Amino acid sequence: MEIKRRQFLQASTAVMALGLTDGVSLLSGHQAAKAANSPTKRVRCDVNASISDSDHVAAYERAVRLMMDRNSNPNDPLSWESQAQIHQNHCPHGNWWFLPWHRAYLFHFESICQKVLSDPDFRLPYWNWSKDRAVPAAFWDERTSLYHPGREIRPNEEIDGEVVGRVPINRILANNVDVLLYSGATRTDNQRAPGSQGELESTPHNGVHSLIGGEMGSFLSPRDPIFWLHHANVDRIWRSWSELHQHRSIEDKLWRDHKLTTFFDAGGKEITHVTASTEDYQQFNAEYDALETVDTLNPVRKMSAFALTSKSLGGNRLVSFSADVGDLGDSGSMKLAIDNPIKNSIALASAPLLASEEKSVDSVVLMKIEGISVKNTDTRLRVFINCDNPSPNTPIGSPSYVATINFFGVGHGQHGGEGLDFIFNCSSTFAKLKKSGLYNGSSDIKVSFVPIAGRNAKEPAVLSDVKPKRVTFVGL
Amino acid sequence: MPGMTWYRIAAAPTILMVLTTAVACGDPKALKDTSIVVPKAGVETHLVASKAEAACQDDCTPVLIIDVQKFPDAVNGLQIEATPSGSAAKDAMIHKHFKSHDGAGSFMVPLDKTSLANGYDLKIKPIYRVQMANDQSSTLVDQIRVEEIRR
Repeated sequence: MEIKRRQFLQASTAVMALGLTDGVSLLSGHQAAKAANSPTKRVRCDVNASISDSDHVAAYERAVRLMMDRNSNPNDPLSWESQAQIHQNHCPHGNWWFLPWHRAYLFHFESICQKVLSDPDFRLPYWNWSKDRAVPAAFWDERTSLYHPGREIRPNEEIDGEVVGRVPINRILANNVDVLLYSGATRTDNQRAPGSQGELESTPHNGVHSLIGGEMGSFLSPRDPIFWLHHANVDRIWRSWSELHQHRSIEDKLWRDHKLTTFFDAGGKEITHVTASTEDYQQFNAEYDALETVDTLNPVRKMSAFALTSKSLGGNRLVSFSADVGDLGDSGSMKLAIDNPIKNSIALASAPLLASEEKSVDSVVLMKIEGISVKNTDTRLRVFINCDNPSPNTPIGSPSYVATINFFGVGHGQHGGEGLDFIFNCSSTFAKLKKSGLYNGSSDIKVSFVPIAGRNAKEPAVLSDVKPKRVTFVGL
Repeated sequence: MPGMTWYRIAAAPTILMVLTTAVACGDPKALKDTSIVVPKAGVETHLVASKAEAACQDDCTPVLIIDVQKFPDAVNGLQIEATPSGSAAKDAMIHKHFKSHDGAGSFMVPLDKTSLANGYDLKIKPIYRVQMANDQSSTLVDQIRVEEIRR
């Protein structure tokens, strides 16, 4: 069976969005440095960047050591332990003071570093975990003050890309709802009142804390020297968001007038700040060598690769294989002797997903399930490939799992009696099957349909209520 | 900067969460209205709006709120996968949210208002600490609900 490209596109517009959903990308490093920083101005720099005029990591190590030396005096507000206790006793999390409080906290910590170093030009480095996902090497040297025992993460182990990578960071930057950036509002002037967390807080912020583990996962996390570089990067993402959203902030007086407590300046004097003052980022040294942005002109995955594949297969034709769904019996399964062109497409589509390095996706395998005349809209249909004994209890995490079809809102007699069609990208399923040894790339495949009782899972579900008429695999 | 608008969270009583759950690797179980137990294998739920008009209007965003008062020590957070009903798996939004320093977490997952009217398939999976990967603790989600964030 052949499907014309135009027909296919009409039938599956949503699926063709594949590869465009990541239509924004993150510029990194100096390429994105659009902040108005003059070349001579002191700014916070990437810890992994090469700094020509001074070694900012060595300076930071020295500052940490000097502050740790002051721990012998429990009343010294400039000591390392006193700074950690500020966080333990005062830090707001899960509410709208999370970002401004930590901006002020960073600023005063940086001021104390300057004081103990006798270097007013010192700026905290930041750890850009989106770009370099492992804890920087300098923090693993046991001979230095930057080492901290008890971390659960290992040297060279990278933070999960779904926590600090392009997708969540782009989502955070593109988000246009203030509360989802700042975290939730409170009803009282208590800076430790609980609320809901925005994605910047709950995903990269909490994620890096939790995945490093040890004391980094606790309120005493500032005892680990990586804490300050982590929070400098969180602050840098806030700055980046502000630049992208016309320096929007919050007009609610409860937020603006709240006094953030408690900090100590470099002279050991107790300090508070009105929240609104933290919007003046220059006053708090929240200036960075590079800010993040989104680039709508540079999609992560280019669709040209798909056009090339189509052309190489001969004009506007796609590779496809189709079969009628006959009597499936009790198993709900059917064997399909897929042909070589589809097998080739599966190989092309799954290869980049199995590669150890990120590779562009040049091909995709789609599964079209056609002609479902829904007799019971409460029934859901799960689809598996090469699953030995599929049942409602088969985990959705199984490598054989393709999708669950939900018929919510579907009325009887729709679509002229021909039934409903659904289409899924099953490239990743084939990649998982290959990886787990359940598909060798050359054999026939088995497709299974498992009906699930949708609204009351205790009731039996009947396949005939949602049985498809036809299955088609399309290689694109 | 002053003069900007702040969005407040307001409960949206006309939006209902219908939890029709199948627990992966186990017998399907009925769930209480607004709490859910997430076993190690994860849990599937289905989210719908009770009425089409329950969808937000122009100036609001529907947000899924997931509240956990206390994560088990072995669990760092939750992966929340939301797929508009009838859509391909690739259309799923995947959010990973981690507990705060106090072991709790209240997470906000923005939802597309059009998709919400048709329903979402939700998969919630625990994220285990690497060092405690063999732990079998379940996570109690104390509240799961939809709210509107509006001006």
